[in-house]
Amino acid sequence: MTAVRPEPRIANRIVFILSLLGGAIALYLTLAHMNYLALTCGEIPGCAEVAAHPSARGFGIRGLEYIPTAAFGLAMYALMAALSFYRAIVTEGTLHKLARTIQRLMATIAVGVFAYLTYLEAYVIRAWCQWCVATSVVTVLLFLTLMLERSSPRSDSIS
Amino acid sequence: MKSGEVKLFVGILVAAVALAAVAIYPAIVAARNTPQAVTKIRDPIKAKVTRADLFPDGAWHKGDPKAPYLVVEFADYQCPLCATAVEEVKNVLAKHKDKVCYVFHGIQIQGNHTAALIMAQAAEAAGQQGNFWEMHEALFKNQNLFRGLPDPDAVDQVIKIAKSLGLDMMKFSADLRNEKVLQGQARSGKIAIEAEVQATPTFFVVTPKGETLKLASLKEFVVWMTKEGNIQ
Repeated sequence: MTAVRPEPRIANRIVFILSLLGGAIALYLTLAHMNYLALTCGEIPGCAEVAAHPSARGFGIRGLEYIPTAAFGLAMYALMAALSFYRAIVTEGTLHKLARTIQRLMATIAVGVFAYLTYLEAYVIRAWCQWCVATSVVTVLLFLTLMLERSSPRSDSIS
Repeated sequence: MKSGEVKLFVGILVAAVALAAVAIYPAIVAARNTPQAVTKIRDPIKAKVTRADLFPDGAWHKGDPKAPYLVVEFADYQCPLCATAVEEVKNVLAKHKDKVCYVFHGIQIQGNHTAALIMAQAAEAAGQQGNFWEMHEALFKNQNLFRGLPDPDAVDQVIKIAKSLGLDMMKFSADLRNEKVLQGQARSGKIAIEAEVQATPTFFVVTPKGETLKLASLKEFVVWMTKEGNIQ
């Protein structure tokens, strides 16, 4: 079991790459919602239906509808990447641990939010958007990486 | 060691930005060339709503109410896809003139479409003077003037459009908020909820057998309507 738990340094790299990947998708969806880019839906039908659903703007909450839901994801991924970058600079100590704790907390909330959005796609809108599914997968991977990360590096890996 | 890790992160970041720029470029080009999203055509979904649910007394329609096929559109006056649908819907209906009765329901699909309801009411109010369809088309044509407008500014804008259509302005201003107009608009919203309309434009076709088909996009509607044998 311990074999699959990544070293903090490796885990941080994975989190950084996943955050950039998720951020890129969220940026694309945000720009598409703001009509700066065409939303390409590919082979999966119903993607445009998901994009037109009220939950695609401000999670469907009154007062937040001016902000595309993807923009919240973009902010989350940007903060996640910034915290990873910080952890690459400050490799130990209280602030390093605090950054990781914030990342874990954000990832937990994000998994909950994505579970809700996936539920909406499956049971309310009854249509799928591959971009939303892709960001959900990225978020789950982020969550798993952060949760499985070793709390301290192996003694033989310290140089 | 520490600076090596930072260099690696900076390298990944630069590579990611470069890759994103390359990947996003085709989408920018596509946005310039295509007015709407690319969707795959699905088969129509059988809906539970009936002809009577979709076509209550007083609903705005074109064509013989007893025509064998009923086509019902739910649209939001601030939805860009709905504006592009106007001409295409007209063309499709023109091909089946004697067989189809077309019903329109103006609804608000998104909360940020703050002028959608007042625009729908404007069409209803113009309808009180027999100019529903003229106002309907003018609203879609001038859709960009309503983007982000709060209610009072949207009212000013619909009044300008009503003037340009030569309507009786005293009557139009009074009708804009009258009970009949508000009820007509609210009724469309209720029917949309019953019919589980999730996006606009959404179309329903009621066949002579009484079967109701839901076509959740303009493309699906156009493909179904123009497919040989579907309208007989």
